[in-house]
Amino acid sequence: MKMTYKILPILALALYSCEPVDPTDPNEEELITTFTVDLVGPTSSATLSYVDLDGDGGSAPVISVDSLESNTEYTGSLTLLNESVSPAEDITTEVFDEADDHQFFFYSSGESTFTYSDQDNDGNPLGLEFELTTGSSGSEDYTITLRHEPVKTAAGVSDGDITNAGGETDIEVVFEIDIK
Amino acid sequence: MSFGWLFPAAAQTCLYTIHGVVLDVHDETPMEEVSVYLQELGLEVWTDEKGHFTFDNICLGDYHIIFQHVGCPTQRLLLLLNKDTTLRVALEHHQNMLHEVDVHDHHDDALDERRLGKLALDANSHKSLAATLEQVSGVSTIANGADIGSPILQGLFGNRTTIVNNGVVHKGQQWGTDHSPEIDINSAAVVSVVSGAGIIRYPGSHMGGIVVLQSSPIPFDPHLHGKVASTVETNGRGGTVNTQLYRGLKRHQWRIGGTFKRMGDRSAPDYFLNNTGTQQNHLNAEFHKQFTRLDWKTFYNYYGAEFGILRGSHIGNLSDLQAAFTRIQPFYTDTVFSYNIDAPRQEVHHHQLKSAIAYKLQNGEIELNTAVQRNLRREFDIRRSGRSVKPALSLLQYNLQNEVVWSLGKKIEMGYQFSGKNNWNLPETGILPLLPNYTSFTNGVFVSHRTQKRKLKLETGARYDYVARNVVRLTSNQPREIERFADRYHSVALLTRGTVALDKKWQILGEIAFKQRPPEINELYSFGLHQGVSGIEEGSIDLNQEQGLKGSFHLRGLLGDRFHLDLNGFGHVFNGYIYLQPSQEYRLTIRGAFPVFTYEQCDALLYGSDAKLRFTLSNRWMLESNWSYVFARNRSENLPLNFIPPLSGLNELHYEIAEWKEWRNLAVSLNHRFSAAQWNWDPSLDLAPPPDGYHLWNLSLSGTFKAWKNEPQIRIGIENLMNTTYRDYLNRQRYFADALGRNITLSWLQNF
Repeated sequence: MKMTYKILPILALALYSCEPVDPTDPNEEELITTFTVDLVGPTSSATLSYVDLDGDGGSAPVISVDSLESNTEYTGSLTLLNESVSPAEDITTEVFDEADDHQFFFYSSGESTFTYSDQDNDGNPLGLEFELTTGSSGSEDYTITLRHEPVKTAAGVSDGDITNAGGETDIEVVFEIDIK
Repeated sequence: MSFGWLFPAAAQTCLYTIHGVVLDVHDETPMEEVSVYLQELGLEVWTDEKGHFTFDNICLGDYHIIFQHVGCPTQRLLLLLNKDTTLRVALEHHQNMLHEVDVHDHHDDALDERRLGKLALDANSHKSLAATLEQVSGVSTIANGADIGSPILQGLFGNRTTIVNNGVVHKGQQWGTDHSPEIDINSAAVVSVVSGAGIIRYPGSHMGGIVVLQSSPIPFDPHLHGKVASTVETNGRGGTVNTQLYRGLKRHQWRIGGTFKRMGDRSAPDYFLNNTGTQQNHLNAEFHKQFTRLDWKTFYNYYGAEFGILRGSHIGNLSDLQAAFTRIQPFYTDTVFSYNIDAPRQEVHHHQLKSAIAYKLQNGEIELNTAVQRNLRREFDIRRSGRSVKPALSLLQYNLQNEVVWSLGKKIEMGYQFSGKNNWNLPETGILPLLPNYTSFTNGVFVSHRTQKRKLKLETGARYDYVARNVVRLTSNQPREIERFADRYHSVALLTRGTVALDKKWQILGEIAFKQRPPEINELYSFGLHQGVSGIEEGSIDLNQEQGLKGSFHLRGLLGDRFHLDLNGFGHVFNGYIYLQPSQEYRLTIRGAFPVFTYEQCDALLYGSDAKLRFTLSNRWMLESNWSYVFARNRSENLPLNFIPPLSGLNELHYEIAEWKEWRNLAVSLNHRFSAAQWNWDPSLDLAPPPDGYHLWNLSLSGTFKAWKNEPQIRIGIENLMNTTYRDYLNRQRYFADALGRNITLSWLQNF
């Protein structure tokens, strides 16, 4: 009883004097800020990139694309970085190490075609490395998607069809490409 | 229940007589066919048509007498027999019905509250608070899966409802539509939905009625008593066990109890709902001590729960969401049943400690109450590289409530209250937090008054609160900087109501209430991806206080002797109603497009009605029908409001038999639940159209098995009898999967 009387004012004071706790900058190690597609062709090379340094909110992302040549085969590779931390973190290796749980999907609104050139431990495609064959000249949209925990055994998924893949999207970026 | 000891008479050892009469607490009519059991001697007698019973030739000693009747909670009484004794026992029979004459004071409040008593709570001890409250007409649930749910009272939920547990306003993270109140119903004896002057004393953000949970008084009985209630369920292949122990001495009483619940994956009629298991552990303890003029009560409650959330409902972006909507079965549906709870999941730990002191003055009574609450909520999403074990949201909250209240009977009540809250993000998530860190202090005063003038009961009440909130957060732009805000609000609540007893059979009431509500922290400051809304949620720092003016009427009465009617209507006008508006544009992120939801204000109108009809066909047959409907409109945009319960009905046919072979108090109930599709809806407000209406059938059979000495009460229930495939508009899981299929429950309740 007497204890209660003593504890009450103390608790009240403790709370009253409390300013809110200052937030600590979270170490957003999981964030992907930078996505780069390097394309190496027989005569030229090109880079497509998507950069959003402050994550979901804040400033708008910056998307830059180089033009491609028509009817040409390119060797493609993908790089994922987290540049919100210093030094920048390489997410590519994280995806590579968890290849079983990840798959990239490529889609073109035009004639371009994509084929996987790498595999996970089960022999299913991953997509960090791929071949791109462009079609006739014109403009096309390339949609590149990274799915986490897709169902790789579902129908069409290992052929690069995203329809039955499921999972969560970690990356979904659309590049508007000019094919000359 | 009340007892009276009348005319003692001398007698010799083993020649004592116990005589008694059993009456209905409401109208004091004698109750026939009540089983009266003298436990120590194993003697049972039944009351006659005048409610009388007699035991002859009983020896000197202490006896437990147990009273049982269909439709009444079992009552026990301790008798220290040393002379011939006459007992007068009042049983609570069929509560929620108006009886011809309400002779006891506490039934003055019959229109102010709708309650679930011991019988209803015992039958639902395996369910959540919100699911149990659905039986009260006018109450529905906003839910996420089977176990996470929060009550909707006349169209209002979340920040707009307040739940009071042991007299303390429950404080946790009430803001999400996917957050459950952290309360176990098994620690309560009565759960009621209260309106009227009784709610003025509770500080809180409620704009309408409130939900109050009360534990029962501990009867005088120096022996250890208690109960064990256990339920097994087929859907989810799990069960719940609750134990309560209590002892009541002359000067002090105590009770302690615990609940354990384990459930695995639930199933829809056609598939498993993977990762929908639950683990819950709860503890309740209370101690009462009486001094000459002072009463001291202390309560402790712990609620710990881990909820799995349907794996297929976790989404990465808009295209994932659209893909999920078109699925017949959700993604990740597995044919293997499991008890595992993986991400996405929620983990909550809530502690409440309360001390209540009541001191009797020359005039009235003074109360000094203090309560401390600690709430930890951690939510886990699916993340890369083993980070699913790190919470994506981790919030810790401390809350302190102090109050001094003076009351004069039921006539006047006034008081001062202080509450303080400190809420912060634990830096373990690696994600920019959805909510900022903040402290909030509220100082409030209130006064309420009740008078009775002949047939009119008049209640008025007023309260004023000053809210001071300090907020600190990180900016969403890089480099992250610290932003500070200070919010101050003055808010007022006013209420007046009149109740008229038209005659002995009819009562009518009218109420008008005004209330202001400061915007809550999530409405002002939330920022980021919120899986609970499947999108990016953004607060608006320029929101003003919300104001509501509500008018209600309530009519209750008896037509003839058999037909009971309870009719309720309300209209609620809002100025600055705060709601979450889906934006027509999508936010482009590296993970693709996301729906964006922002908090906005509008002028709103809600009106609705609920009706309860009960027809007593005979002593054995009873038919009951409950209907409720709420219409809600955003008047600024001329659009409907979101998440408003559609038209719904609950019909029940009930049959009771006092005794049959080895059973007593056998009851069979068949109930039909109907929910219409929400037709008051607009495509711009929601991600997917509302699901179709549905009909569900439930059946239950309960009784006391008297062949065994301890007389267990056994109940078999079948929920969704026809295994109907349906989706419920107010359950977030409906975007992704069907609701639960058939569930057979077997319950065993043992009082000792």
